[in-house]
Amino acid sequence: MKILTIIKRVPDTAANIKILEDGSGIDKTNLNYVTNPYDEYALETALRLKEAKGAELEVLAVSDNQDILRNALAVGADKAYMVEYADYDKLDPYNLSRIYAEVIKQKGPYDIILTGKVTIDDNSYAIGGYLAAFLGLNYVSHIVSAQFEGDELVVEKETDRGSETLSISLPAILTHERGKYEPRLPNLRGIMQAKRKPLDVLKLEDLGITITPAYEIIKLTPPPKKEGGRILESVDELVEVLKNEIKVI
Amino acid sequence: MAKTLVFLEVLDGEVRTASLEAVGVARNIIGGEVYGILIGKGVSSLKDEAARYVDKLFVSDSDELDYPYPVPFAKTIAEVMEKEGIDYFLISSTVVGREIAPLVAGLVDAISVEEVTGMESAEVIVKPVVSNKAFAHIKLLKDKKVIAVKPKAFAPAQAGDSAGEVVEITPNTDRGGLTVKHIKEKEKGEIDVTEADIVVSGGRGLGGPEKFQLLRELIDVLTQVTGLKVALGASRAAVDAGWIDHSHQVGQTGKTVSPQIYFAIGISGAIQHLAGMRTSKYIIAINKDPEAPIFKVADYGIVGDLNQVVPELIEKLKQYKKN
Repeated sequence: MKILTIIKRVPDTAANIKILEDGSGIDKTNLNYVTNPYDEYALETALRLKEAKGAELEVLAVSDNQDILRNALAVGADKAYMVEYADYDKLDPYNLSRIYAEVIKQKGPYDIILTGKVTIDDNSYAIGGYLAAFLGLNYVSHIVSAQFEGDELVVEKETDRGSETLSISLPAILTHERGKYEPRLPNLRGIMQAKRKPLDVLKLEDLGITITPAYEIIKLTPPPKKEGGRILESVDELVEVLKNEIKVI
Repeated sequence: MAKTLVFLEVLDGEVRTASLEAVGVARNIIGGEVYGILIGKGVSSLKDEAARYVDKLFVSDSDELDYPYPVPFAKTIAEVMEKEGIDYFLISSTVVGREIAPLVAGLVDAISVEEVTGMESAEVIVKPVVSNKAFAHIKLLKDKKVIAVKPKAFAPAQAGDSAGEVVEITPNTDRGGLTVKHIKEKEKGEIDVTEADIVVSGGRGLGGPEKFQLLRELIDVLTQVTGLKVALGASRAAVDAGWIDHSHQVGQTGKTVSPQIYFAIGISGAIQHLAGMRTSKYIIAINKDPEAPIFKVADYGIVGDLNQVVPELIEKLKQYKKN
């Protein structure tokens, strides 16, 4: 069995994010980069499936930096692919998915492909659905866990309907919500081992892909600024605010 | 002239308001012909009402489609788009919508954008990015466009006087390898935070799971007094402590909400939480710590013990209702 986890290198949005004056992007000075948090949950589930089935686990990223792939190898992935592309952070989800799909065609087939439900940099939920369409895979999104019951892959989802338990036949692509278990951290032994694990660097030319943008980010604007808040002295005052200012009662 | 197809999502036997908001975007911003599509078990019963919102309504009803299976749903939508020469597909950015949108986009070779909160024109959308710390204004360059609009961001369409033509289509019942084993339904009447007009959220400051009962009482009275949809939210700290289910979580690893009013009760305002609620129209914070970061984003704040403030607020609102 072969499993693939797709991960993306994104700015650490827990830190201060500044938009450039001209709105052309975010200020990259002093920016920290991390693995997209939802991809980390996907990787954790992939590791658990690998351990349960003795499967091979590969990871894939389009990036100009190997750091997140080395991390994935350090927590237990067996092999990594990096499609080297300097402007990876400007790729729209349509083109990014085309690149992933081409790598999967060339390096697969995979029984299970996992990735985050959303990438927090561009707030895109599209990768899973695009890959399911491009590759003709079975597909389920927003899972919180996945495990084998015998040979059946059983996933759980939390939705507006409630808690759902589904099974999905393979090959399939699954996108991950925040998981039921925290992603593991690399230990020293893992980090040492990761240095000897294979990490193949691919180029767009090798994949035969040319990029025609599917969208163009015209500008970034800051969220509407909040006027300075007002401290109210009593609950009566709050009721007045609800009545006269917010006008909701 | 543009042609738009809107997926009318059904939840609890009704077309979701969020889907009517998507119809509103099609009518008011994109213009041209607006078609709707209903897919699922028993959706035929909604066709007369749904047809009043659109120029043409496609209906795919089958007992086999007792769950929003993404593959057959998306294939049905893609077939209608190709047959009718449709350029735009709109859907609400719910769990179901975000699952189906990119699958449809992949099938019809479209660009897919989700969580859309604004539209400058039929080609330029606006959506929050980098954990709500910026809004991206994005020009869609592909001929076909799939747009998932965030619930509550746009005004819902109004029903017309005359109904659009209803077209029954042969259901696609190949479930794409997916089998439903079990669904534990939500408590009836519980409103999802993403669809609420008012969110009442609790955090670590509640001190324990039993205090969510107090918030539920506040929700009940707010529902009665305002007549709006009020939902229960929570911070990650409260979810991690096991006090409440993850489906209520607001923040970076939870849901993103932008209700009319957001009550942050006993929530300090960690940056990850702010990422999920800072676009709310009004933020009202109740916290005993005057230094809590939540007061920096709040429009109104009360510094005080929530065990006194919340019961008093419930009481005053009840009195207000009586008068």
